[in-house]
Amino acid sequence: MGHSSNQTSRWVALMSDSTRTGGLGPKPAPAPKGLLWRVRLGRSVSSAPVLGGDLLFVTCLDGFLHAVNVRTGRHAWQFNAGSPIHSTPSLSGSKVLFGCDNGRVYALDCASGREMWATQTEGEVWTSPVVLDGKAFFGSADGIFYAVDSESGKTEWFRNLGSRVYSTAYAMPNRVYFGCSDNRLYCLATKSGRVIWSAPTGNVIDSSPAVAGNRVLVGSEDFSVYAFDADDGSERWKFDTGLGVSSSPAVGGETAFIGSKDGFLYALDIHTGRLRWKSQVGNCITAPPVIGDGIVCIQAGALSTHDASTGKIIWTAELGSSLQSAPVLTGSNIYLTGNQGMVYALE
Amino acid sequence: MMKRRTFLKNACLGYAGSLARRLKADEAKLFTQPETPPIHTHGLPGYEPSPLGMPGLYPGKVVEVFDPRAISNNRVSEPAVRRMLDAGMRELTGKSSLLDAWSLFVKPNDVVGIKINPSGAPACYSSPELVREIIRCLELIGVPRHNIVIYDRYSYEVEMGSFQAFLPVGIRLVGIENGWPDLSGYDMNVYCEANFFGEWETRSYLACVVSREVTKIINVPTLKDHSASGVTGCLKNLGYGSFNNVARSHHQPITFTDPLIGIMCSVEPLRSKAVLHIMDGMREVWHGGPLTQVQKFIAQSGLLILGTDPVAVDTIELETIEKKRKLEGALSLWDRNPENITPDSNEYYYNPNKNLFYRQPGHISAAGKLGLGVSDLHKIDRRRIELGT
Repeated sequence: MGHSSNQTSRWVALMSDSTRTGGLGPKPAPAPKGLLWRVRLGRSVSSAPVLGGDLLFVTCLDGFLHAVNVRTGRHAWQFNAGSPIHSTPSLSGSKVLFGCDNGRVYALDCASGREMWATQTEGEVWTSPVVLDGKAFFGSADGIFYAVDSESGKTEWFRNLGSRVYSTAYAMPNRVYFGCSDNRLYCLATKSGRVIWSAPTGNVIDSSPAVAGNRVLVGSEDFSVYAFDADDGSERWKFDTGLGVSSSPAVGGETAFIGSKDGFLYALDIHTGRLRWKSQVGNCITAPPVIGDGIVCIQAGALSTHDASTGKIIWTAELGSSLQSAPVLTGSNIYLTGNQGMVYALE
Repeated sequence: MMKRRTFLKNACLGYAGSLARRLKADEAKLFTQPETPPIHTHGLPGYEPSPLGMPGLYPGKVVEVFDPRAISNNRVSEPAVRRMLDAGMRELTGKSSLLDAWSLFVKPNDVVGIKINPSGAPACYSSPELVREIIRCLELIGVPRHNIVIYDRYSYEVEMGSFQAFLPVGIRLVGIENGWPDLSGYDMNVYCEANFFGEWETRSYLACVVSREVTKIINVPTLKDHSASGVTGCLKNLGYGSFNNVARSHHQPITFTDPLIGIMCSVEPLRSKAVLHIMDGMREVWHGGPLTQVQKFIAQSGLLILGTDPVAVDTIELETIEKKRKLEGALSLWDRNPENITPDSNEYYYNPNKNLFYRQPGHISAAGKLGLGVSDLHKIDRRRIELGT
C-alpha cells in the first residue's frame, strides 16, 4: 500500500489539524471496499487516532500509546504510561504528545517512542495537547489550563479556573479558546494566560471549540450549540438540540457540523445558526464529525457518512462504535478505532 | 439477544433443559416462574455489620419531595434540587439542621461512595445536579473531596453522560470496567455463586471500591422501569451495579432478578455500607428501561424519594410506575401473558404492551423477606412534601 499524491499522510490532531476544518478538503471519500488490516488492542479506545507518515498513533484505556505501521498493520512500538488514556494524541514536529489519566502530559519521539519529556498536573488530562508557536496548550481535571514549552515541557504559564477542563483547546497566534466545567467558554492570551474574555452557557462545556471567521463555535451540556464573537465573546447565536452537546464542531465552508446526545447530526449556518439539515445517526452522539469532499463522517454506534449538503446517509460501516473517536481519512484509506479496542484500516 | 426458540433449541445443559421443558408446558397458560437454583454467598470475612446498614436508621419510612420547577424542558434546576434535598433530609431525619441530619449517616473521616445509575444515559441517568448537591452536603459535614468517590460498573456509560465534566475538582470518578471482560476491579473474596442457565462463570464478584475502599455508600438510583426486574431502584442499582457478571441471570424471557438482587444487597459489606438512598425522579421512565432513549416514555416528574430502607423506597417506586403505566394504557409490570413477550428489543422499546422478559417486580418483597426493609405499602410511613406548587 503506498500513498499516492492525492492522499493525506499527515493527520496531526483531533479532526485533522488545529483549524478543525476537517479532514480531506477537496479529496473524495468513497465507500470502503474492504478491510486492509485490523489490530486488537488491550482495552477500549476512547479517543481519536492521528496519522503521521506511516504511523498511526492510538491511545488506549490499557495505558499504552500504540504506534501502528499503516502499511503492515503491525506495531512499530508502544509506550506504557501506566494509566488509562482518554486523550487524543497530537503531532508536533518529530514528537507525539498526549495526556493521561495519571495527570501527566507526555511528549514522545514519533519514530522510536522514546520519552522526550513529561509534565505533571493534579488531575486527569483527557484533552488533546494543541501545539502552536512552540507552546503546547491543554486543560486538566485539576481545574487548571496550562501552556508548556513544546520542546522541554517546562511550564510557561497556567491559569487556575477552579473547574475541570475536558475541552480541547483551539489555538490561534494570539488567543487560545476552550470550554470549562464552570459553564464558560474562555479566551486566553497565548503569551500570558490572561483572560481576554469568558462567555457563559447554561451548563458545563466538554465540547471542543472551533473558530470560523470571527465566530467561536462550541457545544454545551445545556443542549445548545453556541457561536460567540471571537474578539469580545458576545453571543452571536444559539441553536437548541434535544440533549447535551459534548460533540465538537467541524467547519466546512459556511457550515458547522456537530452531533448531539439526542442522536442527531446537525448542519448549521455558521453566520446565523440556522439549521440546514439534521440527520438521525443513532441514539447518542458524543464524538466529533469529520469533513471530506462533500461528505461528513461521524462515529456513533457505527461509522456513517452523510452528504454534506443534504445530510442523507451515503454509506455506513458497522464498525467503530465509539464515544470520542473520529476516523482518519486519507483519500484512499480510512482508519478508525472504537469501544471494542479494535483499530481498522479500510480501503 | 437470543430468541426464545433459539434458546429452547440450545438449552441442552441439565438445569436449563428442564427449565425449557417446563417453559414450553407453561406457554399454554400464564407463565410460571421456574424454580430458582441454589444461590450461595460469601461476604467479606470478619466484617462487622453496622447498625446503619440496610434497612438503616428509618425502616419503613419514605419521604417523597415534589417540585414542578425542578425540571423544565428536560433541564434539571440545581437550585430546586437543593431545596428538595434539604427538605427531604429534614423530613427523613426529623432534624432541623442539615448538618445534624447528614451527620447521622456520615462522619468527616468516612470515605463516601456515591453509587450513580448511568445506564440509560444520556436520556435518563442520575442527575449530575443532584450528585453535586449531595457532594455539597458531604462537604458541609467535613468530608474532604479526596474521600468522595462517584462510582458505577461501566465507565463508558458514565462517559456517555459526561459525568466526569460535571463534578467539582478533586472528586474521584470510578468506572469499574469499560465493557471489556476485566476482573481487576473486583474482590475475589466476596461473591454470589449460582448456576442459572449452565453458564461457565457461576460467580459474581463485588467491586473492590465497595469491599475495600469506601466506608459509606449513598445510593442514587433513578425512577425507572426495567425490562427484567420490573423496576430498577435502590436495590437493583446497588446489587447489580456493584457485583459483576449479572447479565447471566437473564435468559430471555426468564430472569432470576428475583431473588438475586436482594441476595446481593444482603452480602456484607455492601449491606452495611449503604446507609442512605436518594432516588432521582427528576425523570420517570415508565417504559423501555433500563436503556431507553425514547422520550415519550420518559415523564419529567420532578420528584425525589428518600429513605434508608431500600425496600420501602422501591415499593413506592413500583407503585408510582405501575400507576403511570395504567394511566398510559400500558401493560402491568406483573403481566405474565406469553402473548405479550417479544424477542425483539426494538419492538419492546417502542411498544409499552410488549415485554422482553416476564418481569420480576417481586424482587422487592423478596428483599424484604431477607430483612432489607418493608415492602407492605400499608406499613410504610410515607411522607410527601410539595414545594413550589
